[in-house]
Amino acid sequence: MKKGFKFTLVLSLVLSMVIAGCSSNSGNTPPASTSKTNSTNNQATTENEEPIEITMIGSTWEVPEEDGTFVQQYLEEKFNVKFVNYRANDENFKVQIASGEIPDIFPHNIGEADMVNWARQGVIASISVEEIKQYMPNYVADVESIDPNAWDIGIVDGKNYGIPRVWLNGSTGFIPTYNGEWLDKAGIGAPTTLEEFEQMLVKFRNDDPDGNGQQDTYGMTGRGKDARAQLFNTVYAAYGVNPYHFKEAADGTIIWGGITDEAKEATKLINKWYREGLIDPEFMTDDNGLIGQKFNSKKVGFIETNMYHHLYGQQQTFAENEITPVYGKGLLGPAGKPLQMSNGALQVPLLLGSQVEKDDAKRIKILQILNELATNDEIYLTTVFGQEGETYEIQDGVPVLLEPYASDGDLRLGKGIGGYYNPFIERAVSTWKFHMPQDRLDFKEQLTADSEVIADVLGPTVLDSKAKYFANLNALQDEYFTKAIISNDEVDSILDDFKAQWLKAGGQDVLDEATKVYQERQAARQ
Amino acid sequence: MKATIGENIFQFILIIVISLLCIVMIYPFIHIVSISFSSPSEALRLGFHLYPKEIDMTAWNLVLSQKKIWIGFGNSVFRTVVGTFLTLFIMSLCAYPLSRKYLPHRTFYTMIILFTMFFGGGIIPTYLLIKELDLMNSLWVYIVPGLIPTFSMLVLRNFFMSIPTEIEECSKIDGANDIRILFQIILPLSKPVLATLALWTAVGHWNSWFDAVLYISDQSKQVLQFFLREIVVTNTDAETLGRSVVGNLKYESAIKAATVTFAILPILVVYPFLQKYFVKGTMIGSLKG
Amino acid sequence: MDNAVQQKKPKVKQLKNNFRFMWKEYKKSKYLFLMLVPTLVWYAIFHYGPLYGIQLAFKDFSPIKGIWGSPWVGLEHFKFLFFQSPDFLRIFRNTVLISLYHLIFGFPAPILLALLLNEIRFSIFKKVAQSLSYIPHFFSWVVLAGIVTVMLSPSEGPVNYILKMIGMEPIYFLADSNYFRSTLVVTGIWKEIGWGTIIYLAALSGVDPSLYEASKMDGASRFKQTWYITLPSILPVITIMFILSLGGILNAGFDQIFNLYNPAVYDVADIIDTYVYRAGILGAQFGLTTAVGLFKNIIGITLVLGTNFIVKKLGQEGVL
Repeated sequence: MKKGFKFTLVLSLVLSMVIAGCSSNSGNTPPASTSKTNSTNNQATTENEEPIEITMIGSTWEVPEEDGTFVQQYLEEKFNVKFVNYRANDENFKVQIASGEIPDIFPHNIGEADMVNWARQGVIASISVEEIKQYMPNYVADVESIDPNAWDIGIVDGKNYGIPRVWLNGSTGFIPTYNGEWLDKAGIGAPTTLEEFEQMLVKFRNDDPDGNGQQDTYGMTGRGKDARAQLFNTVYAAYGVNPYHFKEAADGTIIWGGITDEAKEATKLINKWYREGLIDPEFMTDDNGLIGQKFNSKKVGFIETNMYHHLYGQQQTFAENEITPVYGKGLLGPAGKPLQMSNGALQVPLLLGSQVEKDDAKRIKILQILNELATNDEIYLTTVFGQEGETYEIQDGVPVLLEPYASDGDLRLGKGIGGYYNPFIERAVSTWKFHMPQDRLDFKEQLTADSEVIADVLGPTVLDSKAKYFANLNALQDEYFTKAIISNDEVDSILDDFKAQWLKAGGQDVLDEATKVYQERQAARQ
Repeated sequence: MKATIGENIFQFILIIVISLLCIVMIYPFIHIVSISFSSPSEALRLGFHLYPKEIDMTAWNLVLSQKKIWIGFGNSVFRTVVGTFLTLFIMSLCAYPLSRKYLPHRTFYTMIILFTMFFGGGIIPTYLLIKELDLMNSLWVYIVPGLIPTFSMLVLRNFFMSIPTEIEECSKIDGANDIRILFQIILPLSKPVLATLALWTAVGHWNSWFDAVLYISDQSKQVLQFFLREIVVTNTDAETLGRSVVGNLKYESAIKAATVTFAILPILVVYPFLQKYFVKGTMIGSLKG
Repeated sequence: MDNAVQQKKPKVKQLKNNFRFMWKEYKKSKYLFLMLVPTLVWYAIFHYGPLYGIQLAFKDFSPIKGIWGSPWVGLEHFKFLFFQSPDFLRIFRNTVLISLYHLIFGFPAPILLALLLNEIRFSIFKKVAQSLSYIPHFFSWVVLAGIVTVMLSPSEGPVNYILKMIGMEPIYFLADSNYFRSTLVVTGIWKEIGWGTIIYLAALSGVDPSLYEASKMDGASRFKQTWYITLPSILPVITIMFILSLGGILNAGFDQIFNLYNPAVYDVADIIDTYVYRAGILGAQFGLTTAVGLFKNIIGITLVLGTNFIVKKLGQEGVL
């Protein structure tokens, strides 16, 4: 038996290698032959009007079925290029990359860890900041007006790997939202301080706001299951911290929200409320869907996990459920001023495939096209909305999609409209105006004006230690914070224990690296 | 033979117990179907859903009017029917020889097949292989790479082994070769197991989505489960979810429920038809005959 | 010298004889091979072909360099798995414990249900019950988790409602380390028990009814009949199902756990796969996932071969 097994093992390995060897080596040829960019790479030929071939996939969420759509032809004509349409979805994109199929323009929704890995593996191109500034002047001006440090995100091992991206909505905060009818019944307005907030919780819990004679309502619950950074974020913000963000400490170093004293104090308050029965104990298993359900079916009276654009879209749902939402602002607490948590405007940059590093003509062409896609009104309108009069029309200065294009995604893709050819869709400052009809602008104004937000001081930054330790550190934190919140007034000891463990399990390394990177960036700005 | 009182009591208790069990089993289905017919606020209500307190057909209208749902349905049916037949056929060809104890080097061949149940190259080499064989974006990629599910094949093999050898010996004396024996004698005796494996394979095909995600880019060749995931899991199918540009989410729960129901119904309908193969004493007759 | 030469001659002759003997045996079974060989070709192409990918478990994969070109990193992925995780012992323990619980309680459950269903005389009821019992199998855990969460809710759920009625305190099953694993096992059984009965019902349909008649005439009780006739008759099926299930012992049900767990129960619910999933989010780790798969599979096949050996010693048909 044992002999048979060994023999089998050897035979199978031999068989496998023979077969692998016999089949052609498509798995390990360099991208030049498997990606479809091999064509007229001669620099001189661009002058001779030979269209440059670009392998394109601006988005994995909206991929046109056919080639030669209206938008594709429009762009090809305008820029004298030829697109090769790379097709993938979120789940198979990485597999395609792994098998050597690398596009010229990557989808806009890449994660930062992938960016680091791909940079180190030579999958994506490093592009100099000067060159981007030279060929994308309008776009760069826009981005720097939001955050001049947007360049920091794309730096891996000292080189820049992409075109910076910002998301305006990201700079707005999470909006505390209350059930208006319940506030009226309790005779209070939207809370503005932590004390008023606690009052709200007490009344929503004890005074039967839904009038059904049972004590079955709570002030609030939380996203304990699927988004810990948003759990009780309003309260933590009142202390000036978010347990899952990096923060600058008084001495100029970087500290992690979860090990700060502020987080501990905030957790103590939450624990007190929990012990008093004011918080829905099922916050531990609630996720976004359940929270929405609870708010809409009048089980909880407060929700804090939406940004203004989510709320804008939910107005009809609230109306249907006979809830009048009251939008609050940040709570005044020990931080000294009302603060709200935000995700930050910085996003992972737009990446290009490594093969364009060597192809100057193509690279420059791509940068030029991207600049226009983001900042040129006509081009933006065409790629995102289509043809005026046919797929959209201008109402009150803002383009509005017409039926049937408005509700039929397949029809839109049939024209090539969307993020696939314009990876800057809804991410470009100059053309942002096209997505903001007056009522949405007003809504945003009402909800976010005069709000100060806190965000992760480093943004989506590359850190080696993050890749190594974060999976564990975050799990550790999730566990300890949950324990602390439901404990019997033992927050101090539990979180002190947590801090020690966190630092030991790699947290100290993370802080050291984060501080180093942060201080380097500060210095570079002098 | 008259049933005794003890016997009747036993049957009575049995029926009660099994009924309770069935109620518990069937609840998820009732819950989901109820939500699919619910109005938005009813769908959001926490707690038991035995029937919709407010009926709303919008979710079903939306789902059934999506042509991709039907395209997916068609592809799934193709894959399931063709795939199951081919699998049963090829699997029998593989299991039968391995079930004959006199097959030279039988252990060796079984071993190299068993080995593949535990060790595989992984996603990337398989992806490359599929590309190599030109199966990318073809309906056959649903069937050929998964043609022989080894677990099922081994179960079939063991079943073949349990058939008394006298049957085979008799046929050989009559001059039949192995192939005829397999198809004319062994397989008919194996109906219950074949029915079970057919069900396993069919359900496997019906529920598959990963290969669809990986190898198919042409939406017209996608399977139902792929679209189901877009609607229920990844939430990326904005349009079926009834979101217009404004972003209205109110029918989301009901639509998800309707899609899930739609995907499950065909299977629930198929099993009763297979039950006739699970008949007692199929094997006994042949020996006596 | 002469001795050696003389010893070689008979050896060569022996080999030739062996070969001729084998050839005859193969010829005798030519129809069997006619059937078997095409399937072996299929295995060679689709299973052995990609096997070279296993080397990724020991390499730092780079898409540019491909599988062959990527650099070797030896046991680094395994080191990450065993030593980097805060407590690999805990993860491994959880994986094994949960799998064992599933095996101990979840394996016999469908057999018992099949035996019960088989006893039902009322045939229409039996058929309907069979068809209803496997409904939960078809729902993915994504959907079922939502239902289970509501069912087990300490405030809203029917289970706790019943507990309250009999005077007990409500239990927060999904967030209580003492109950979470049991919850996994029970909901797992609920989902799979009906589906699991199908193969056993198929086997039961092959049992000779005359055996029962004979034993009844000897006065055997229902229990004795089950023990001495029914079980032995379906033992071959039970055996092979058991052996093959052992192969997946380190799987412990990622789908179920991932959709049901939350930080309150990490200490009992975190398994190898959930850990790898979180680690993988922070970087497309094909090398790590291959290494973990390899680790699980080696243990799996060892268990399968081991149990197979024991089973054969006990006189049953095994897998080999």
